[in-house]
Amino acid sequence: MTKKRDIKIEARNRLIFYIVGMTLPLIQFIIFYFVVNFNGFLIAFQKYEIFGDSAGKYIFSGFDNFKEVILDFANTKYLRDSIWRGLLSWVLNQAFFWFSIFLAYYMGKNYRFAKTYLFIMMLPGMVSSLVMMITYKYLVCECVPALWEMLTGNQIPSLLDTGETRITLAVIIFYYCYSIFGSNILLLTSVFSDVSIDVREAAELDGITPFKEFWSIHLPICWPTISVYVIISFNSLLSSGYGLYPFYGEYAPTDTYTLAYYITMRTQTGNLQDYPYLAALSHLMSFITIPIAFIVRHFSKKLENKYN
Amino acid sequence: MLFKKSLEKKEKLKVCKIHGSPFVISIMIVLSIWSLFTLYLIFWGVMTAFKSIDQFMDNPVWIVEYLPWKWEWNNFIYVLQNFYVEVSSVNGTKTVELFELVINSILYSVVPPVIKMFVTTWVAYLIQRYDYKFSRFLEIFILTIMFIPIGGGGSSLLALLRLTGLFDTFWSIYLQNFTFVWMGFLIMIGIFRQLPKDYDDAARIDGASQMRIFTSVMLPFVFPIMLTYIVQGFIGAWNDYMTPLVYLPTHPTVANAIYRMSISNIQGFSRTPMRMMTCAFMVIPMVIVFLTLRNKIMGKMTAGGLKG
Repeated sequence: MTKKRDIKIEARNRLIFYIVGMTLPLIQFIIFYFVVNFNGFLIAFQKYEIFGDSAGKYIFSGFDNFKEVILDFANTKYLRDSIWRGLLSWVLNQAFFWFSIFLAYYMGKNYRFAKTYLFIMMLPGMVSSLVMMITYKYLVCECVPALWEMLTGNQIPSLLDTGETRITLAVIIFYYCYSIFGSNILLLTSVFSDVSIDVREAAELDGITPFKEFWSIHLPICWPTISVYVIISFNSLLSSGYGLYPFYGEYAPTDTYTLAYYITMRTQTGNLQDYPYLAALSHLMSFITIPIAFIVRHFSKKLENKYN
Repeated sequence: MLFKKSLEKKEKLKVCKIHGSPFVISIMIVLSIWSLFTLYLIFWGVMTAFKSIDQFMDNPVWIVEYLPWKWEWNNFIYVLQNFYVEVSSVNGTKTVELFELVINSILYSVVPPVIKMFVTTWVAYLIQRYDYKFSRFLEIFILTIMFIPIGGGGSSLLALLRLTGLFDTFWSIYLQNFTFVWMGFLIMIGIFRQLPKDYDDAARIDGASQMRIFTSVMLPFVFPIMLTYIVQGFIGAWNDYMTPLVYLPTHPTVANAIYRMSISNIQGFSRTPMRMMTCAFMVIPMVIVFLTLRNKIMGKMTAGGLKG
């Protein structure tokens, strides 16, 4: 009888402890996830009144914000182009992610100088991406023109101030590619290092080539982890950018805009009356990306089953 | 003996063959080019930071021709004594000096990762060790929402913070970080799942309270992993210039101030060597952290969990 009562008391104590322990994190989750996102949903259908009886309040405005966003994008060329530029940066990001998988295989297999390369790959993260970007910016603005003059005797302006969008974009995209080179390398390297030594040795004894080994053994084994990143990356299909903000702040040339930059810039410079427009724009982006993310997830699962 | 030697020779040949495959060589070439560029970028930044204006004008590309090389330590002293940033708000313009920038950086980069990691560990522990239906539901729910991109949250969060008076305070950052909804949660869930329940049972039989089981039995197991994440979070926050720009406009951090410097002209900091020295100043704490905790940062991460 006493034992039963003890068990009951223990179970009750556990439940109380659990409820008390979960309360604060759940309140935070409810406010900063549910309330914020629900409010973000509502705010897209509202507008901020500056004058009149409702001054200083958000009032319902139907689909006005959505209409405004669609009209803005339909009538403004640089905004339409910003979508394509954003997609370009997403494609580049994907391409470099897949390239990182090759690199991670190289590191995981501990080929020549693998540890040295890995250490150097850690440097930009350690030095700070901002500092690397600033260093690059002054390198192309000051060092490259000086080097060009030393080599050819001709003077050229700073590569970010040539007045030609193509050159400016090339300089910025080059840095973007440089900075995403080896992204997720640490995590991927660990994935490849965890492939069983027995499997590797058996394949090597059979005379397998490195590429074949990568393709037929490592990739299928590591696919569950890789697929998570692939699926998550589709969330940023439209919100991808090549890092204009660090280069230009709020004053980037309009013909270099990406959608991500446009939103960041408007959020940074905006106030309460700009938020409904930005929320509507974000919802339209989610409206396009969510189904794509689900389709990719579905196919990824299929692929995983096929590998298994 | 002869057999052993021939086996070693065969092994060496096999290693050479694998290392010499076109697949491996092409990766190695790309890695080498990238590494050389990274090293040059860092070398150029450091050299420029320690050049006088005249030395830099004389040769912005490489080290100056005339020897002995004179390190311009005055640049460092100048940055220490004179670096500041001006921030504007509705109350007017405020000058924030280096000391305050460092304090802001510490408040921004030390506290949030600690809060985030402890909340994440705590919730992951409760969900894994307290086998209620709600725990299972919450785990699946969090996993699901992580894959769904929801737009409009940023604008809504800013509106909420402005309306509650939390905007531009460190409390807003701390409250946002009192969360468990991020990738680290999945890792911690995985770790608690792997830890045998016998530890809890043994402690319970010995009369340990619910809290004691967590603090004295479970926490020591996961503390090294938590520390790794906290260090990574610290590095990320120290280098983050964007979040303070949006949420803490009048409390700039060092990274934020350097970003502002890079896109504007602060008196005395318009020349490249001085800007590079300011960047070097930001990097110093990171170099110390990285060199001290190198193994923790580089060694602990794996895909499915963390090495203990």
